[in-house]
Amino acid sequence: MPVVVEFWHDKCPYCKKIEPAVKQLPSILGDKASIVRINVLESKENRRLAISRGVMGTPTFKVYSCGREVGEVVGMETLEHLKEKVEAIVNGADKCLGGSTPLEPSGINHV
Amino acid sequence: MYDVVILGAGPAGLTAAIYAARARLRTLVVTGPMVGGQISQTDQVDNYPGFPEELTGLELSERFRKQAERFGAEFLEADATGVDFSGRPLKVEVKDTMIEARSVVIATGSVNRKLGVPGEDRLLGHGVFVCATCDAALYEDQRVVVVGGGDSAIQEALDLAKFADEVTIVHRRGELRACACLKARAEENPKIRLSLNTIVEEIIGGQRVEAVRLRNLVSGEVTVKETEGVLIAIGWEPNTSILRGQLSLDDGGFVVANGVKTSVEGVYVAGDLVDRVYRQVVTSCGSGCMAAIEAERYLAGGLGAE
Repeated sequence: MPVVVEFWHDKCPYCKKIEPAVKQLPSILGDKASIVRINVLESKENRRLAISRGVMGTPTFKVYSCGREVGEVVGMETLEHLKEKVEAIVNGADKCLGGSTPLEPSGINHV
Repeated sequence: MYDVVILGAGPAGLTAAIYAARARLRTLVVTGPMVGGQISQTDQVDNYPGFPEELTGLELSERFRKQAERFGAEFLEADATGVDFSGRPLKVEVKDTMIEARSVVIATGSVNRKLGVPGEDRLLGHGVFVCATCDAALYEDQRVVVVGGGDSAIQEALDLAKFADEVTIVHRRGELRACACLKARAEENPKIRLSLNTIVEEIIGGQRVEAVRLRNLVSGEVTVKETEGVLIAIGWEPNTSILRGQLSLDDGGFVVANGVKTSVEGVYVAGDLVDRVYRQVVTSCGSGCMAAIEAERYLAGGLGAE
């Protein structure tokens, strides 16, 4: 199952603004994808993970399927756009892209 | 048709909205990219009167907005793409929609000044950034070049040095413009180095920033410096590009105004657009209030109709 990962932190105004949409994602995506949030200010591990995944600004949403990145949404989006874009990426990620291990990030908060 | 259309939703625009809506004028705020404007990026607002407790810029903005909505102001979360002040009614364009107004308050504030070098636009968000508060943590143990020499550049460099391995301040003059206390802190910080009399000529990188090409203005020497990030902090400029040809602007891009009144009757300016000196939340609220009162008086005079 695809995983939507939001890289965010609590001092990022755009992350706050988009939070209502993020909270709606579980009900929109249902059992098509799970969602995790990674606060990059919370720990060094979280920052290393974000940096190693090429995250260069917050909020960044990345979608992984079978451990591979299948798409991302970077920066501020309107609530509608975010929902549409994430849903489109998830729908396109239905097929398993390879045999690699699914991403299991540490220090995550389930929405 | 609206009585007042307000462009911008920072403290000035939102205060104008509170006053206009409370005066029972039909009011629309075209918010631009972010309700709250620049203050929404501030983590801590300590100096807005009436709020002795901790307050973030985002919370304050939300309060402004709620207060305007309480009196019936409408909000359109979009960017104005053009204006037409040549006739009556006044017109504001949002993508393909033309909005008609009897009066307009312009409170579009300021935007980060750009370097105007190759690679800057293409790599924005991919290593080129403008807000250390937002993105510093993502440059942990990496190298960042900070362009600029004023207070904000040095403050951003200090914020970055909490995470980054190496911060290089590139400034075109021989001396930083920042205040003495910030300069001293930068000079004492072992992670921060200075490249004075130096300009960035190009930001180099494929998918993300890899290096900058620097030119020393004294020796003429050109070097390529590897870096993961480039933070641009060379100041702000008024966000008035959509007004060009419609209102008189000065060389700096500011609207030529008498107080909050522009060269066109019924069109007012507020916030950073009329303030090059103080640029505080409370002063922006003040000019937003003034603009709304002027609009109200103008409309009460029976003007603004066709």
